[in-house]
Amino acid sequence: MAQMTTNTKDERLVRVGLLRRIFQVPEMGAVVGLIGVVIIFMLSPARENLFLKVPIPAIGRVLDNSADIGVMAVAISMLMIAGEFDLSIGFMTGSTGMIVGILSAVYGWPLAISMPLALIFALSVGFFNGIMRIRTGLPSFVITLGTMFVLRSANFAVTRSVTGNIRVPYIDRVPGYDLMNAIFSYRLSIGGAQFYITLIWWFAFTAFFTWFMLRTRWGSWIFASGGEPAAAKSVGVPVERVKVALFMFVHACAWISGMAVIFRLRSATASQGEFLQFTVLVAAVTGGNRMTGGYGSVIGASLGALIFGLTKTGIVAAFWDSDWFFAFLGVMLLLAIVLNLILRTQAEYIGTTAMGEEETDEEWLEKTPVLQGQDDGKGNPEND
Amino acid sequence: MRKLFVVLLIAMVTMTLAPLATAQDEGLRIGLVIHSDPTRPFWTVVHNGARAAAERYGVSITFQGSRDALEQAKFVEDLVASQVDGIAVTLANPDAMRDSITLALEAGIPVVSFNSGSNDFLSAGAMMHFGQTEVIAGEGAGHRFSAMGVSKVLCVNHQSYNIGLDERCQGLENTFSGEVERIDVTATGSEDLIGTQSTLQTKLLSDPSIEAILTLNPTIAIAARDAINLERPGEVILGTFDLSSEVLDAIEAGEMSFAIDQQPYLQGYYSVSALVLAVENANTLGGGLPVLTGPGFVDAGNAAAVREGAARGTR
Repeated sequence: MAQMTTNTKDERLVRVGLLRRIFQVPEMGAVVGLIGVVIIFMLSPARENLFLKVPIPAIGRVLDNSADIGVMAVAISMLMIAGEFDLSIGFMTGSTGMIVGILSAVYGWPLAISMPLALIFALSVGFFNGIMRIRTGLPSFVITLGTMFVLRSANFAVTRSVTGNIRVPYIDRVPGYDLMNAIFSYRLSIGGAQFYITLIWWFAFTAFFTWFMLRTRWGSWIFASGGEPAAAKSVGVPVERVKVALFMFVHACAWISGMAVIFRLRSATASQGEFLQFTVLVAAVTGGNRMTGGYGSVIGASLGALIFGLTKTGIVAAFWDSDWFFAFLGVMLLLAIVLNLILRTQAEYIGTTAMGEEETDEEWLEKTPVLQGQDDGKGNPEND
Repeated sequence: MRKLFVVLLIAMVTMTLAPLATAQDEGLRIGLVIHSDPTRPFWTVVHNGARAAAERYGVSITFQGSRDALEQAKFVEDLVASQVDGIAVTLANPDAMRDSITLALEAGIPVVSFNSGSNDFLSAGAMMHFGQTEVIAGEGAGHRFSAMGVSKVLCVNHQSYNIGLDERCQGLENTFSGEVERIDVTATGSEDLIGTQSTLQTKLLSDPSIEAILTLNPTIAIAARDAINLERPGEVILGTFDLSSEVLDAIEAGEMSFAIDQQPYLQGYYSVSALVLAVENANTLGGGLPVLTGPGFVDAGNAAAVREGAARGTR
């Protein structure tokens, strides 16, 4: 760091080369990971390579395995950028499904009433999580862990007491099922390939919220709330309002996900979605989002969901031993985290080029610690 | 950092390539999809049966599953897209599987069911079913408890989303001469055995009229045994569905009265065999009725003989 003393110019104004600018994109880790996973499965020496043999149905499966995770990953990445997380979203998909199932399939209420009621319930729990987070100042992991257990238990207890079982069947006999099925889980068959409407939801979410995060005032507020809450507050960002709104938003998305499940399966199950919070966490982190907030990307989370869907489809199609699925997933997650860390360390490495001078990629590569294998421990960005 | 990355990368590539080294190069491809986590002890025995049949017939199998019904349906659709030659599924939630099975049938892939779904397999689209009729198995337990002269049995349900388990308790109620009380431990289940055991301890303490317990899987059975030993040792008769080495130990030690064996090995073995025969020789088995793999009873009389298989993972 001795060089720094001879050069006190503002490093933010240094013009940098193309390669470095590419490294600075938050989605870079996810893009590299995606390319890696695609290569692994394309080169898979399995006897019958699904992705080469029947590419269109294979794409249909990958997109289906990514889409419902994708919608939630987009939502959770925004909450993560604001520096929070919510563990109760998985069981919320089960709760909303059960509310609609019990009210409509058991008691015969119209969907036009039961579905909004389920949404209101979801929003209320999100509001509760947000308020608890703000009022107590406790980490959102702890608070939402509590909510998660309550929801989990309530899903079983309420359903059991009403139906004597924890499944509600015959949702397809409820009037209005066809319309709702078309909106939430419509299936289109094209030449042997199946495409579900959830992927449109997913694409639309990704596109809209990318714009929202990067081009609207609320988007900037979310980044500011997670990055430097105190500073954000002092310049007038309504940090608390932003966070509560985001908790409500992820629960609204859990409602969408819950509706997609019950209309697709024609039945609701109280245990639905019990691992969803972890799968979306994997997707969001793989996509370059961090638990600490202030940094991340919606597109990254979507790419993370795509990597997850691709891996899952690939493992089933290649007839790999299912015993290894979670180990594979775990290694993939760690790999993604390390890759993101390397890329970010690289991109954030403070150069020694004077203001106004152009730093070429070659100069930058020469100076950076990680790619040169001289990781001195100082190159790591904080927060990780 | 860079070294760590390289180590992880090597781990991933190894994991990617290792299973393929042992993959079959030819023969049919058959997928099995269950409604639970494939690494649970019970399912390992089913998996071993499927593996044995796959080896004997020279076919490849994959064995997938999830407690999440949507995940289970998606696994089936993944297999349909990859154009496997046959699919075997468990029907713990027949409604949820109906569409996926229809897709398989439309693609010309034969489907059989096993384990759960003896009542629903035909309407769900499966051509055969390998399992035990849960009500009949539960009735068997009811007869046994009646013969022992107990007056109240606790039926411990650990997966209340699984129709089959409800039917077991139902069967017990059908034939048992005394009172049956059901208790739901789904919230803790096999995943949190300490929690399940403590629920049972509380129940035994609070209700002294319970004279017997029927558990619906061998892992829960061990939790129930421990609960009995801690709270009312020697006073409560224990019976369970399904086997494990620990259950056999408990039967031989006199801590457990009997186990109802649905022979999971046969469910995996015959699902694969039947699919091979259906594809290669257009055979069907069962004539539209479920092919029963149980109930068989294991008690102090035959526990030693069954033990050898349990140690091998085939019983």
